[in-house]
Amino acid sequence: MNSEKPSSKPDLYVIARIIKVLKDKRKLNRTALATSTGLAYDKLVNYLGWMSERKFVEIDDNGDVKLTKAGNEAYNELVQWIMKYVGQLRFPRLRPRT
Amino acid sequence: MRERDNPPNGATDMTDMITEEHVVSKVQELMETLDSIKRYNAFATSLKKFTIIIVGFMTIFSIIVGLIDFYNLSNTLERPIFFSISSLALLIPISGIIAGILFVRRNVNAVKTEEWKEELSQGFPSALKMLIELDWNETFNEISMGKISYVLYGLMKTVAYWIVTFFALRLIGTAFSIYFFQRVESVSWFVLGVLALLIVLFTLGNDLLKRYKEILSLDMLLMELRWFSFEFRKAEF
Repeated sequence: MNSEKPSSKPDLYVIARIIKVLKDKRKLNRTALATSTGLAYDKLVNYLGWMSERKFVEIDDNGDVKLTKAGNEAYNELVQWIMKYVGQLRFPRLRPRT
Repeated sequence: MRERDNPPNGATDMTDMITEEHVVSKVQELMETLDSIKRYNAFATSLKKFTIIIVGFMTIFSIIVGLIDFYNLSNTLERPIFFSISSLALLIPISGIIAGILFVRRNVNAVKTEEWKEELSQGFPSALKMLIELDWNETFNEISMGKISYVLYGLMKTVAYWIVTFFALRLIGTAFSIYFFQRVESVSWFVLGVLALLIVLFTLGNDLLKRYKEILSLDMLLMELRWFSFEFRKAEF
C-alpha cells in the first residue's frame, strides 16, 4: 500500500463515496472499488490507508475491502451531522414574475 | 468514535436510508431554490437592455406627442385623422412595454435549471459534495443583485404603464371635450397623472403585492442561507 496519506483534512465526499459503495456491495477488491467510486487507484489506496487507521474499513489478505461497524457508524454520523444543519432550512416558494 | 469490527447491521439500514433520503431531498429543495435565484438574477442581466427598450420607445413617443402639441394638430387636423395619429402613436410605448417584457421573459426562461439533478440522483455523497462545493458568497451576491433588479424592473414596468395610461387618458379627455363641448379643453396634467396612477395601482395592485411578498421571501432566504453557510463552514465533523 502506498504510504502517502490524504491530507490531515480528507475530502468528506470521497470518504462518503467509498463507504456508500461498501455499504451497498459489502465487500470489494481495491480495483473494483476504485472503479465503483470513480477514484484513481492511487488516491483510493491513500484514502483506504487513512480509513483503515481509523478502523472504518478492513482489508483482508486477498486485498478485499470490507466496511466495519465503526465505518458504518461514522457514515451515519456524517449523515446526521449534515441533516442537523440542512434539516433546519426552510425554503420559500419563489416564482419570478415578468 | 468506537471501534467495532462487526459488519454493519441491516436492522438500522432502513432508518439510515430514510435520513439519507431526507438529506438528499433537502439538498434538492436547496438546489431548486438556487435555480429560482438564477432566474431572479436574469433580471439583473436583462435590466440594462430592458431600460434601453422602454426609454427608447418612450422617447420616440414623447417626440411624436411633442410634435403634435407643438404644431397644435388637435385643432388643425381633421378630427378622425388626429385621433388616428394619436391612437397609433400610443401603440409605440405599448409595443415598447410588450417588447421589453418579452425580452426579459425570454432571458428568464433561458436560464438553465436542474443541471444538478443527474448528479444528485447518485444519493447522499453527491448531496454532500454539492453542499461543500457551493460558492456561498456568489450565491449571496446573486440573491442581492436579483432582488434589487427585480424591484427596479417592477418599478420601471409600473412607470411605463403609468405613462401609457396617462397619455391614453389625455386622448380620451380630448375626445370627450370635443364630443361634448365641440372644442379642445385641456385637463390638468396633475389630475390626469393622479388618475392614471390610481388606475395603474388598481390594475397592478395584486401583482405589486406579490412582488413585495417575493422580496420579503428573498430577504428571509438570504438570512437562512447566511446562517446555514456560517454554521456549516465552522462545524467540524
